[in-house]
Amino acid sequence: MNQEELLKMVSLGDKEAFHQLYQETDKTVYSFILSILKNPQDAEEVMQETYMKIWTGAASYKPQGKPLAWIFTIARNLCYMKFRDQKRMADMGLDELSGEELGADFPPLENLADAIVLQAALEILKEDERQVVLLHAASGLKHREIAAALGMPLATVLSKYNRAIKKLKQHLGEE
Amino acid sequence: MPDTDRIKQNTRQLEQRIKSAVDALTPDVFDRLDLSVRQVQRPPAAQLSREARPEI
Repeated sequence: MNQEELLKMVSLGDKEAFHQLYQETDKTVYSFILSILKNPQDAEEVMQETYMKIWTGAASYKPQGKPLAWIFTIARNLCYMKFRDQKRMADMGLDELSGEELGADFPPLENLADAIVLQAALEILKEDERQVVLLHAASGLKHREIAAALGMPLATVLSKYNRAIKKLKQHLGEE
Repeated sequence: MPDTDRIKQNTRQLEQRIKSAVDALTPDVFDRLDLSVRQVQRPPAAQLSREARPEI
């Protein structure tokens, strides 16, 4: 069953179909959210909210062969809501509670080299570059799938990807 | 090793490191989802067209 069919089943309340959809998309959805928020804890919260929205709102998906683009729209909106909440907290002087500094609340990873590369990607790349790098490298989407899901021309995705990898290599002293 | 091969290998290593880091970070939130929450149902097409019709 493809993701479009799974979403249809989810809209009918099929929990097994939802679980299958979750298993097929969790890394992609998390990568996408992390590329926007840059903070693993916030990304986890928004990931949970995203899947709840998918569960409750699957019936509003209009089959157009782009289920991932629909899921990304939900996730992106929730990320921007998170930014608004954080801005409101900052305006109220509560920003110290939110742990905004990248790295300050970055969970320890067993492999330090992996952590350094991911933190570099989150810190030095622009949002659209982070998206294509994380979606391709971490979740294994092909460049053409990323282009379709983000509504970008394939050539744009490829050039952003190559530019981002070059930046990363320069930053890490590998070029 | 030729330069192009070395560049490709470096890129693959970089991608692999990003993948490993994201794999390690990706949480499993499925069990935390409350699937008893009522799903929003799409109204039947006939009802949609009635609602869309302007009142006379």
